[in-house]
Amino acid sequence: MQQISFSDEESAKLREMVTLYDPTKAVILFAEEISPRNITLPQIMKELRDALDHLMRVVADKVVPERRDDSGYGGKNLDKAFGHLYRAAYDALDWVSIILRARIDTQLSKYSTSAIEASLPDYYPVIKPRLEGFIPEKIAQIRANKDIGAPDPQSIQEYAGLVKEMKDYWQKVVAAEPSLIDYAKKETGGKRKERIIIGLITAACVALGVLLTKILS
Amino acid sequence: MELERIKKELYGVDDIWDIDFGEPRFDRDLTLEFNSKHRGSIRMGMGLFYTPEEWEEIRTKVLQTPLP
Repeated sequence: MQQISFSDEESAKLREMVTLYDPTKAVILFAEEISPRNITLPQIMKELRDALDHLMRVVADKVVPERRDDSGYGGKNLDKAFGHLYRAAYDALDWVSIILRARIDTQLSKYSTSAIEASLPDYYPVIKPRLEGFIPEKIAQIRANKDIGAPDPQSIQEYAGLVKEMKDYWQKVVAAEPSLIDYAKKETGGKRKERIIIGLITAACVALGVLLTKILS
Repeated sequence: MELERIKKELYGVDDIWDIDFGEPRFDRDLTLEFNSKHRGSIRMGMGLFYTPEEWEEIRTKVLQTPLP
C-alpha cells in the first residue's frame, strides 16, 4: 500500500490544527458541563463539521489517485479547515465566558453587599472591575479584530487566558459559598434580634404612656 | 462500486468532494417533531440547544446585566 505523505507546509498546518483542536475540544466539553441544563450550542458543531469536510478533501487528495491535485489544493483546504476550527474555538470561548459571567451573577445575587465583602474580600476591588471592565472590553476588542480568512492563534491564546481568569473567579465564588451562607444566616439572626428589641421598646413605651396617663388623670 | 452508484443516484453529481454542506437551520419545534422518527444527538433531540437568535439574545442580556 502506498504511504501517505505531506509536504513540509502541509505538515506545519496540520500540526497547527492539532494544537488548536486540543484546547478547543476541552473548552467545548467544559462549556457543555457548566451550561445550564447541559444546553449545547450547535453552531460550534457545525464549524467542526465543516472543518472535517475540508480535512477529508485533503485526505482524499492524498489517497484517491484520480483526485490527485498538485496545484496547492491540499494547502488551500487545510487553510479552510483551520479557519472553521478557529471559528469553533472563538464561539466556544465566547460561550464559556458568557456562562461563567451568568453563573457568577446568579450565585452572588442571592447575597447582600456586606456578605460578599466579608466572604470574598477581593470581589469589589479586583474581581468585579475585571469582570465588568477589562475582560469584556478586551474580549470585544479580540472579537472585533477576528479575521477568519487570516486566523491568528495568538489572539485565541489571549482569549483563552481571559476565559481561564474568569473560570478562576467563578471557582473562588463557588468556594466562598459556605461562608456566604453563614454570613447571610447571621445577618438574618441579627435582624430578628433587632426587630424583637424594637418591639419590646415600643411595648414598654406604650405601657409607660398608659401608666402616665392614668397617674396624671 | 455500490457506494459510488448510491452516491450518484442520491445526489446526481459525480464529484461531490468540493460541494460545501448547506447552512443548517436550528429550529427547536422541527427538531422535536422529527426526534420521534430519527436518531441523533440526545441533546439536540431533547431540544437542549440554543438557536443562533436565542444565543445572541442571551449573550446581550448577560453582558448588559450588572454584577452584584
